[in-house]
Amino acid sequence: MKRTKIIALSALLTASMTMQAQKVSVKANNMPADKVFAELMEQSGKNFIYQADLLKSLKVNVSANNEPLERVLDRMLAGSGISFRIRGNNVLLFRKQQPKPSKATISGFVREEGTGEAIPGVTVCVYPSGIRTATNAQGFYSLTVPAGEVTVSFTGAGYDEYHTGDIKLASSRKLDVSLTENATMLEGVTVIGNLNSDRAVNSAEIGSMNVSRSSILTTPVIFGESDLVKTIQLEPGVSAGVEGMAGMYVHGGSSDENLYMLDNIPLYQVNHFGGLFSAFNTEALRNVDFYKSSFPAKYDGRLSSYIDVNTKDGNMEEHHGSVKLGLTSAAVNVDGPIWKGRTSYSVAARRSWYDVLSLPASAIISSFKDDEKLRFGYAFSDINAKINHRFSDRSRAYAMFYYGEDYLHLKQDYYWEDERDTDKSNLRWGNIVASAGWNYVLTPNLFGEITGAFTRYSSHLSHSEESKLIEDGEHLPVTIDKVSSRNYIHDWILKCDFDWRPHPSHHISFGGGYTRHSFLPSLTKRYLHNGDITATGQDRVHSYGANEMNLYAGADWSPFQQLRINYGLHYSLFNIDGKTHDAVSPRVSFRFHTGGDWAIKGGYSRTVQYVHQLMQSSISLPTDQWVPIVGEQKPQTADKIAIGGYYTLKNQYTFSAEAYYKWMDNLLEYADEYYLLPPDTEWSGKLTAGKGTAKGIDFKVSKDYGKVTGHIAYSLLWADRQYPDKNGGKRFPARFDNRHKINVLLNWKISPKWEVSASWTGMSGNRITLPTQMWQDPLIGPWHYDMTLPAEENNFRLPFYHRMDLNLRRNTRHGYWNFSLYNAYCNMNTIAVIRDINTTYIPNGSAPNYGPSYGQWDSKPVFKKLKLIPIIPSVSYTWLF
Amino acid sequence: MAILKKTYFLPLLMAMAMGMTSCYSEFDPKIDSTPVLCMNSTITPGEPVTLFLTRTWSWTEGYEQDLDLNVRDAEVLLIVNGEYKETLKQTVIHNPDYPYDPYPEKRECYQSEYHPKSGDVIRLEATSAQYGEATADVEVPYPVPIDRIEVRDIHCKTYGDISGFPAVRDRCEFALDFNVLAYFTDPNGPSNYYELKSGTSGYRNYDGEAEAEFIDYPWIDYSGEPLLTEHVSELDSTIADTSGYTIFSDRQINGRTYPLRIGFRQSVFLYQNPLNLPGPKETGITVVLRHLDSTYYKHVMSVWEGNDGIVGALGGIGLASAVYPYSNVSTRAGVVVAFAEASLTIPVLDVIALAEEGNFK
Repeated sequence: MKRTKIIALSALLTASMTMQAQKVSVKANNMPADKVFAELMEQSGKNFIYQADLLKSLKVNVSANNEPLERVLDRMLAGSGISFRIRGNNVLLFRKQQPKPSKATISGFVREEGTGEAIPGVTVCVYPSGIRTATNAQGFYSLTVPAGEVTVSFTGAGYDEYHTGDIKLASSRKLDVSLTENATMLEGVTVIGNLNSDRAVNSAEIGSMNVSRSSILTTPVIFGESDLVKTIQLEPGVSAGVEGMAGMYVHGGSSDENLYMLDNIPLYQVNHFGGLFSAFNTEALRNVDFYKSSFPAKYDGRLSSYIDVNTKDGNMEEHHGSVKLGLTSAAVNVDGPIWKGRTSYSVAARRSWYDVLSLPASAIISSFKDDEKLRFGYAFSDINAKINHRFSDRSRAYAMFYYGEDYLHLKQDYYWEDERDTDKSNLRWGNIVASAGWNYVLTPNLFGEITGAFTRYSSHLSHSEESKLIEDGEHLPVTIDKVSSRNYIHDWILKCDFDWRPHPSHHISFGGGYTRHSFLPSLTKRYLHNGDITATGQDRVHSYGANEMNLYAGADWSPFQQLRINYGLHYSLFNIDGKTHDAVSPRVSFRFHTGGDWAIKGGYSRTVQYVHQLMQSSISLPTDQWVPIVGEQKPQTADKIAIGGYYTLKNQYTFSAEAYYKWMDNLLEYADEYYLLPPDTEWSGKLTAGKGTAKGIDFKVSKDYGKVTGHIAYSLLWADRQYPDKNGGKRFPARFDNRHKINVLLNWKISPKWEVSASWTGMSGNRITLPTQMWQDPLIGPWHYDMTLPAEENNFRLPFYHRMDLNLRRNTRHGYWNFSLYNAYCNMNTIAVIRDINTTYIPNGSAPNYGPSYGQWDSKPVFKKLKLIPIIPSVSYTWLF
Repeated sequence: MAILKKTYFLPLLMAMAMGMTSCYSEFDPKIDSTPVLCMNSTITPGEPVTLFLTRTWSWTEGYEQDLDLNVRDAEVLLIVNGEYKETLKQTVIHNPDYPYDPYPEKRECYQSEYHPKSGDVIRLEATSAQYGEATADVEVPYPVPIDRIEVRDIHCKTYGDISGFPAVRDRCEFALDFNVLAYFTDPNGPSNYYELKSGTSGYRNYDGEAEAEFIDYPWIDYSGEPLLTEHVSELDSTIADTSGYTIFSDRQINGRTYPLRIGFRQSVFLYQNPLNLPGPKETGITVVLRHLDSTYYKHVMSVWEGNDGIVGALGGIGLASAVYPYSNVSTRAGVVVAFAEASLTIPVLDVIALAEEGNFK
């Protein structure tokens, strides 16, 4: 506390003098103020009271001849910032109250130079105040700062930093900025994540990151198919599941506990080809945010993570595109202006090649047989399309469409005497998302968006077997057996989201939404015709309608520079079959700067999930179905606490350590032996509800700038589950309880032409259930089988898994080549353990130890590790135009 | 027919892909496990209860055939309809399927004197000092008769002179191909489970001195019967194996009369009567309908799911939860099942006669 010294210059002078009568004479030319006051004190007899340092180094000019003291003081102190007040015989000197500087709001959009694409996540900082914010998904920012002369800097991952010159900010103003794609990249320097390092130390969020398109493109993956989900798999705390698949198990969660939002709309099915590829075409992506620990209030509906995917708006200035040809798929992407500067479009399409190979293959197989014809094809495709229109600087609208489908077709014809049998299978499954939105800058501080959307996942599987008799050229049906099943979830969505930045230290987001769900859990229909008998049947499954409503409000508040708090509430209500569930999900997280480049964070969040996916396996199958909670089931919930420490070194390296503990309730899973229940059993009757816990710690060191960028990550995890009707009610480890996981990702931009990426993954193996005890076959099945005695669930951990992937990119004048090696040093990892018979050759004699020996061969039952995926080279070329 | 003839292109492709890329290495998973009692018994009305009481064994312990798995120190109680009936006696029986099944010609077992009846609720309780206790319950079903059999779509080729067959010709050979429809009526009421079986019966005499007739190499084709694949999903139909199982439920035909369709393909019927003796013509085709208790059905379903269904196939390579064979024994090892069967046989000569009425001379 500042020391205050009250100086009584004199108490001896008479107190009877009135102010008005008090006249003084003084002449001073650049004299120290305290000397002049001493003179005035002497003449006036007043006490002058002031803080000791008030007059320090103050020099005054005054000339008065028998003038009232008040007038002399006025003149003398003019412009000095010092004021006075006369109270009786005392004259109080004090510093003038500085008028509060007026404030002004500076707001606008940040877009990409040349394309007009909005850039989310750009850090906007106003100097000299140092007040900062980040652009939202539409590139909008708003900052209220002291008026005056300011400069503003804009820093975005992969873009040149932009500084305005001095701006005289007297009142609120709009400032739209275009950032140029990082020029230094052309000189061999890559920036992949300055946004993330900023986020790590400055934001209050824990475990959140931005995934740029460029980082997805440079991450080496199987078949060279760049993939969003496989990029995220390299993050600590994220288990990849089965090798090669685009699975995601975040902090011990399940794969259906991740909410994928495509332009703010949920996408249910995120896999193609059983999960080998994700549904996101990298060519269509603009930016992705990933949250795994603390969640902004906006997000709810899943327990483990949120992946907010934004697609490209399209170039407002000129047409561009790319064509990619790879070993497994081809992709085309075009975008450009429809109305220059106003309306843009973006279309990206991708299709796999497999059927191009399988159809001729099946034709060749068929050509060898006269009595059997085969036709087989599999393909996946997806299309992203978007139109974006800018009505004004404040108003923008867009319409987005996504279509993704997998298709499997099999037809077999058999000829026997005068009979012809035909088996046909058609399986189609996939998503459609259509949405339209309008966003408007209501005031410089308030941004709003309204969105209407339809999203659907459906699968339609059918199989038929027909037997026909050919008589006189006529095909007479003998038996017909048709079975088909449908499963879908349809959502109609209406939502509003607002960003309000009333104060530089307070960023508020709020909004709400309504979703009308329609569910059809797998409905199987059968048609049977046999001679005179015709029977039709249908499972006791019915469709469900459900209403879901959400309201949320969250704030990011920095009460003082060291502390930043993100807090909020998400309220959800789910109404189905006359039952209403509701839940309040509180969120709070904080960041405390301990000084320098250190930060400590902590947080708690609760998430609620009303819709879940029933999966029979660890890969994505068309029989997987999205279903709601029904009957006595309760919403799934997860509560999570997390703490973390963060440090940035020279703005180049970011170190982080995040620990968490998560407990989950009402988790739904297939019960033991569910497959034995009668086929017409209600699907919900096959499930069991239980609980689970997950705890662990994630470490990460990342380098975001320079020619060499990348990260090293380590995560430690314990995850378990417990269900009353599974594993005898006993607690068991989760399937992807990968205790230790290490990821190294390096990207070296050698020159403008050459770029090399390498990733290495090492982790404790997945868990499997390995029964070891056998029992005697009662021989009531058609053949002799091994009968296994049930073992404890997930009782065995597969051996340590490790793999290196490499990617080499060669930029050419019109595009680039990608050469990749999956599993570069060909370490074939164990994916399963099987029972087998090992047969060995004994040169001379019998083999008495194990089993029957046949001559010189000996055999014995053993367990074997099954290792599947070897080194896989691939190449693709992308032509840019 | 289609089901049996399927080449399973997709599994073949998958197997080829795995074969080309995969490799295996032997190892010991080092998981401790303790043997428990296993009870296997198939109970039919009118036959004594025969229980094969064994212990479980570790896969790496050795071949089942080489291990002595029989449990001989046990006491096995038979409880019928809630009342103690007797303690089963240890005995040795002849294995009628030897050498076609993996078990020895003489098998040790525990057997009752009591012969269960349809409707009995049987409980077996076994106690062993070494392996603990095991219990299982089952209800013996009633037989469901086959009402009649129709023969259709007969294709018959002959070899040699058949004029005057069978009265005057001493040797004839027929190649037969035909379908039969076996009609039965499903009882109303709770779920019923069935197993369809069929075969040939005949008198064989290879010495050529007396009348001989036999039917050989019949390929019995169940693929024309749609009910037998009702447990097969669309995905299973496309990817997994669907053949070989002949169990079904009355889910689609509850309370109705239904014709079960069976094809007899490429059958060779040889009639040889060098002495031209009059005598019974015994060769026939038999259709058997087993009325199963639910355990029997569940066990076979689980075996199908675990070995041939898509979930079992994925479970086998670690991509799905393990599928275990269903057990109604308290230790989860073994099954005590029951069935009652009915059958109907038609002589092959009748089939040939029907063929003669058609296009065959």
